[in-house]
Amino acid sequence: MILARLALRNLLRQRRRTALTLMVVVAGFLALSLAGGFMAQTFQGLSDGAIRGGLGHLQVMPPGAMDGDEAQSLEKALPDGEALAARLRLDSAVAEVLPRIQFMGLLSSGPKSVAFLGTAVDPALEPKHMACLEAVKAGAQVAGGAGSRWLSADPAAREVILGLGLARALGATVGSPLTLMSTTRDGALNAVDVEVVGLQDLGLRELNDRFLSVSLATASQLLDAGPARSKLSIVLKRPQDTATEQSRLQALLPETSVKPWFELASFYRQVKLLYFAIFGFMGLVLFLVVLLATANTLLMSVMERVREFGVLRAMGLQPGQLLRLLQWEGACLGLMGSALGLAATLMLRAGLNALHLQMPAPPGTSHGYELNIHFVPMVYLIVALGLQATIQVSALFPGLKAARLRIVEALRHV
Amino acid sequence: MLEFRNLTRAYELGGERAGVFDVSLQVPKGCLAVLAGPSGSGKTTLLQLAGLLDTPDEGEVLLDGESVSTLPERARCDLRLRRMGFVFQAFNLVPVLSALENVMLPLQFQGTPETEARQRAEMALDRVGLADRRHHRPGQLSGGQQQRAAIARALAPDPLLVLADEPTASLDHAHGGPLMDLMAELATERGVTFLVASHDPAVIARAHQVFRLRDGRLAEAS
Repeated sequence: MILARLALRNLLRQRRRTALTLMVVVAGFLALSLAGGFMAQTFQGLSDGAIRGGLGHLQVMPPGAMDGDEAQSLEKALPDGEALAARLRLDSAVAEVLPRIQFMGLLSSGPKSVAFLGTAVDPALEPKHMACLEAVKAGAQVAGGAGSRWLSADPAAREVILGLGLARALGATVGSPLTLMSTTRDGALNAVDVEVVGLQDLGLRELNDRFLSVSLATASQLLDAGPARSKLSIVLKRPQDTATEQSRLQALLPETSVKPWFELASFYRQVKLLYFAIFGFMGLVLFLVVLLATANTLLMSVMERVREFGVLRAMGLQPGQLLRLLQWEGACLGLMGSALGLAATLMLRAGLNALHLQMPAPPGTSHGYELNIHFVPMVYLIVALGLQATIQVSALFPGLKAARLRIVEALRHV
Repeated sequence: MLEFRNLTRAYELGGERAGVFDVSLQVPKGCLAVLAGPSGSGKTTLLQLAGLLDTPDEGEVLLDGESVSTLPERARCDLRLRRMGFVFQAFNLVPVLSALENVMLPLQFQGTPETEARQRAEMALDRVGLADRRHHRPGQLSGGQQQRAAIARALAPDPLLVLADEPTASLDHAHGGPLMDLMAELATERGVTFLVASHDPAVIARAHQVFRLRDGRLAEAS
């Protein structure tokens, strides 16, 4: 411990220089930790959006459902999706199963027709687990959306909820009568008259321009679907078990394909990769700055203490112990820097979150969000360890220089 | 106790050959021996060879009859740590440590437990008359006090041999004389061997043994 104590005293010898180096370490910690908290907020927002946007934690679909488009409605479907859903609801790990039908067709309002992508859902179950009500609430705020509500649970009701762009393209508002046209499972053309009961803002412009939601009963009539369903969205009781439950359910249902949400949410994956690339590069630059700053400080410290090192060596200190002394000085710098950096991070995070700053809408999305930098202890730990390792590496060269000094020359040094 | 056998260490200085050449001498245990001579006569070089800080080109250094000059670096470090003490002209105390901590330093490098190291360091400081200044840092001590602290640091680990390079050169006569008296007392009292490089007459006057060097060669022993 004498080396550690000596190292700490040596750092306090040139307080201003040590303070400047610490500021660099603190700035590095602060930048990386805040970036980590921001990334965590973004990832959580995206994952929540994907899961509650309809994917659920797991999706059960027919094998090959992801390979190319369907030539006609429900060509790739679970033939008895409703029975499978009922069976899965009995599983102890499953909180709910939400059957879905995905289809496409034309939506007509008088002379105007627009192609759409439709999802049919259970109107009673869907709002309990998905964010559909929030999308409708947002849709009610725009022109023509006043009075928007969710789909009726009545199987006889023929209702539709339109994406904002789709409604705009047709000039439809809440209460407008429209006609849904599509092909049945047999390839025959079919149509159903529906009433617009709401508009929905799905957050992504491309989805708002094409997307509509109807009840399973409406879609069944339009597509002559019977018990067939395109897929089943599974909501788990323990979301953190998604990966293990996926393996278990896949083994249980070999005739289907069970996919976790993170394999299906391509936007989430792309953003995650992009953020890792951007912040990874930023981290690399910051680590390099810390490396150079601490190496410079420790090297200057070695150059000023050549004679002292000569004395310590004359007293019997081994070259390896001098190397360790410099490693301890690096360790003290890193520990102090990380501790101060953590304090600064927590204060700045609290301050920024208290400001309720509105972030602009990310590319491809239709609305912004409030900045809420997350508290992520694992990120702080990784940043602290990364900085510590960087500083220990930066202390290597000055340490080797000190260890290689010839004692007689060091003692003559002025 | 300490013996040089035909010791030669040559180097270039200002285009000329300097160092020590074919020096043989013996210093018995408990003796205050002085290497005397003008600047450039080879006093410091000889002291560095005795302290295993440098290796001879020829000849050997013997400590208690054992040749030590060709030992590997680790063993030399260990010998310096456990059996030798050093006192330098410029005191060379570690400025960020108090007098007490400076004296504790070699003991702690040896692995002595802190309490014992503190006790022994306090005793050493007491012996050199610095007990009341033990918590002062070197910058708060006079030159004479710093050199006393340096002697306490050299003595604290109970070495067999203390090597002192011009220990009085940075001190005035009022401080230099008593410092040498202290060294002579310690040599007699503890049986520690002192080898001192100096051209100070006050130092030479207090020596038990004097080796006069001229141009790197032993000119006279008395």
